[in-house]
Amino acid sequence: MAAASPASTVRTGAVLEVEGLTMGFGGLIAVSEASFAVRPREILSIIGPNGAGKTTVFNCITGFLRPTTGRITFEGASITGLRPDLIVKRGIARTFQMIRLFPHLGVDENVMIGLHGRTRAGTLDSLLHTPRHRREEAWAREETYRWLRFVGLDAHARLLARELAYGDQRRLEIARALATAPRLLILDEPASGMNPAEKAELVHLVGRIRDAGITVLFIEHDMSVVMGISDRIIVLDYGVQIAEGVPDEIQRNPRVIEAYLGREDEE
Amino acid sequence: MQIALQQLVNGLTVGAFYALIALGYTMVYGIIRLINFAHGDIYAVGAFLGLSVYGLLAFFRVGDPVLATLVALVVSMGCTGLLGVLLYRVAYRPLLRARLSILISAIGGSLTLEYGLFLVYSPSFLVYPHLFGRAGLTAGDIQISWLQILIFASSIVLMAALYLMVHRTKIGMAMRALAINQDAARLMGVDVSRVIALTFFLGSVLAAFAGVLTGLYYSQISFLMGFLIGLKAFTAAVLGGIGNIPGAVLGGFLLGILESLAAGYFSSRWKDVVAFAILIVILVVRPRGLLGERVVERM
Amino acid sequence: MLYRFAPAAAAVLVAIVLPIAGTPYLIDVGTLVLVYVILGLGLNVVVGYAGLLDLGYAAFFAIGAYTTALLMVDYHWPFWVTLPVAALLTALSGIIIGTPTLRLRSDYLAIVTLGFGEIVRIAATNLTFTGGPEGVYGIPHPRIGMFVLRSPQAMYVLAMAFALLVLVGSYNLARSRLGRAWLAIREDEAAAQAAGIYPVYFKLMAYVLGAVFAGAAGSFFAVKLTAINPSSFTFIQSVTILMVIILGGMGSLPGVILGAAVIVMLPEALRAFDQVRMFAFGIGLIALMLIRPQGLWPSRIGQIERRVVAASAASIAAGTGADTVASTE
Repeated sequence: MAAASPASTVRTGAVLEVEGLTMGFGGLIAVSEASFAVRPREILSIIGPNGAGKTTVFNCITGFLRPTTGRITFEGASITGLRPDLIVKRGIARTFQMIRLFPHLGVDENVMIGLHGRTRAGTLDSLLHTPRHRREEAWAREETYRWLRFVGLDAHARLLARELAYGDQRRLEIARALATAPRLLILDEPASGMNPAEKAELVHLVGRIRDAGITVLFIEHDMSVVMGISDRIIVLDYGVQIAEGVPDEIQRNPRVIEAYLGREDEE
Repeated sequence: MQIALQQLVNGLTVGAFYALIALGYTMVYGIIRLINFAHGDIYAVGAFLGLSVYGLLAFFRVGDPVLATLVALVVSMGCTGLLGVLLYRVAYRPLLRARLSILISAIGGSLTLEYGLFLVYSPSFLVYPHLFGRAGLTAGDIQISWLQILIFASSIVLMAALYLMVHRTKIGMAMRALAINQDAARLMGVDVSRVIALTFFLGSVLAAFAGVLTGLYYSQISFLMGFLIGLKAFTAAVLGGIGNIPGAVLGGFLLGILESLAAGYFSSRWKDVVAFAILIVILVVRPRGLLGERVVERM
Repeated sequence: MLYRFAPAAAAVLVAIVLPIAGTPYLIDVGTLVLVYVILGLGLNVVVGYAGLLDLGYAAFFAIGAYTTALLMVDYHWPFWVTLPVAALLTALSGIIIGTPTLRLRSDYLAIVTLGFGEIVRIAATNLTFTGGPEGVYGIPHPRIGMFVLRSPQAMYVLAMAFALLVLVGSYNLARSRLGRAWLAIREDEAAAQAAGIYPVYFKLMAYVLGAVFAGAAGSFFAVKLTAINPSSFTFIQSVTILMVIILGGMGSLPGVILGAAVIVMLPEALRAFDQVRMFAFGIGLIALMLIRPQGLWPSRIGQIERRVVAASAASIAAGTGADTVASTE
């Protein structure tokens, strides 16, 4: 699977390339001609006012929506319009704006389900608990605890997901995404609803994820988080990309300031 | 050609029954996304209540068939409507968010009504009064009874009234708002539970109307009469586009005609299979039905 | 600990003592319980594990029974050879009916399966090669070498063997990669997709496995009764099997066994009240959903359903205000 990063990636130097992405719902154009590239091992933020079409872009990349037009390339191969589960297998994992865990399942099981695409046991293996299934389950449990330790939830492994504190639920969702062994992790407003301490932890965690060699792409509203960890920032306004650059440039960009301040009332 | 025309006439009659019942399915589904499995049995209850009223009127020597039928229709429709509301209140309302549980509860409601009729009335067929005979119009070999004309015409009037109510009145607007977004409707001050109850009432009233006319048309009724016709009416609703009122009417008539043609040309033993085959094909090929706009797949 | 294991121990004891000490009638009742255990476990995979409501489950039961019956009567195949054929045919019909429909909303699936159940029953009634309304009779007893399985005891043991196999399979499934995928889909389909699961495939798998279990139950049913006809495979039969798992507790294996025992023995014990049986079934289903949606012996899956019902009821009890807050937060 990892061998699927041939010439074009090397040429453009991008992990993920979005070209001319347009998404319309009936008459409404949510995203118009969005184009950007994500470089290896960077932390790229997409920001913009509410309704700017950020989540729509994410849903297109991760296969939950099929773009009206446009092309999405991951590691040199087109993933446009692919099914969500196949995109996960290609190496892109995501979290959701409104946390989507399996609330009545265990914390450990939530992560274990993330390992689904990395295990192979079929129907007969599952029915008969073949040695292959047993070996795989043992590996899956180890791997699960590795990721739980990584996000700092190993002490809560036996709780139900719904019993976790809000910030911990966010981290569990990230752990589940990491368990799919992604090379690109997409986070949709991971800091929303978090208190300052939790936000600080999150910033730290995202840094460690990047250090583990995983590229991170995220949407965020909280500017302290965005400016604190982003290598680069892209600004979308009503589906159109209006700016791109490092945090300092973005903070000084007049169009960005106008887009934000001009419509601050909508927040 | 003779067969085709005669089957068309019969198909329109049966289609009217399907359409009337399909409206109940489609309205309830449109609003709370529930397949009300008990709806066919509500129709059966309507038929039985009508029979009771006829019996009572005969006891008091009310002989006029038109008057008797009017009273039977009104009483049966009113009582059945209330029964529909009761069913909603008891079996569905507490479970509105539990998808699987509410469906199972609906199956429970269906069995309760069926075997309630079985216990209260009779395990065998009951005979409806012969009030209207077979008289009617004849054109060549094709016969159309007055009763068939009455069924067809009165159903059309009722359906038109329903359509106007949903599209021209305030309560109708509340129903449509609810179908689109329950939370938004609630925020706008719509009394959600009452509107849902009203939907059940209207659906049950139409079903009861169909029930009494079925009794007159086929002249016999049984406690299980609602099961199969309920399934077919649901098929009709899906065929027309579930949640869509004109769709239910179109689907009902279409299914009635197709089925009658199948019975005329093949064998009546297989006509039920025709209905289910249509259902499966429609769901697979075009799940939103003929007139449905919404894509029903997934959420 | 003791009170947790006591019912299981009692069940095992009854299961062992019954064929030794029971009257032929009691042994036959026990055999019927086992048939419903197999059917319940199969439907449990579909409804309990994968959360798909199947209202035409009796159709697969019928396909299994007719396959074995016709192959044995018309072609003189041995019982054991008909088993894989029955499994294959039920799996195939599961795939044919499931592939196009499993993409639909779950309640649409319920109605399609209901239609499928009726089609199979009507076909069995109208076709000539299935024997029409009279069905197939004179089905031979199965043999092991020279030994003919004919006595109630022998059939009971055979049913027990089937039931144990299916029980172990179900137990394994619940604790497997497949079982986790089902749980994930039940809990949140979008989240399951984000975790790399393709829901349609796993729903189909549940549906096909459930069909095969029912097919096995049907094969056994045919040789046990030696005569079958369409009246055993009605919608009511499908509902009865559904009742087994709902009564016991969806997803719960001890619950299925308990449910099967209650469903078979209650009517036997209350023969005098046969008239009210289905009526009571109906009331019972509604009451169960309102009061104890998790069933008599709940599993984790049952607990999930109970919470959803409780949340639903609470939001109504709290009035529209709280309901609005809850759903628009």
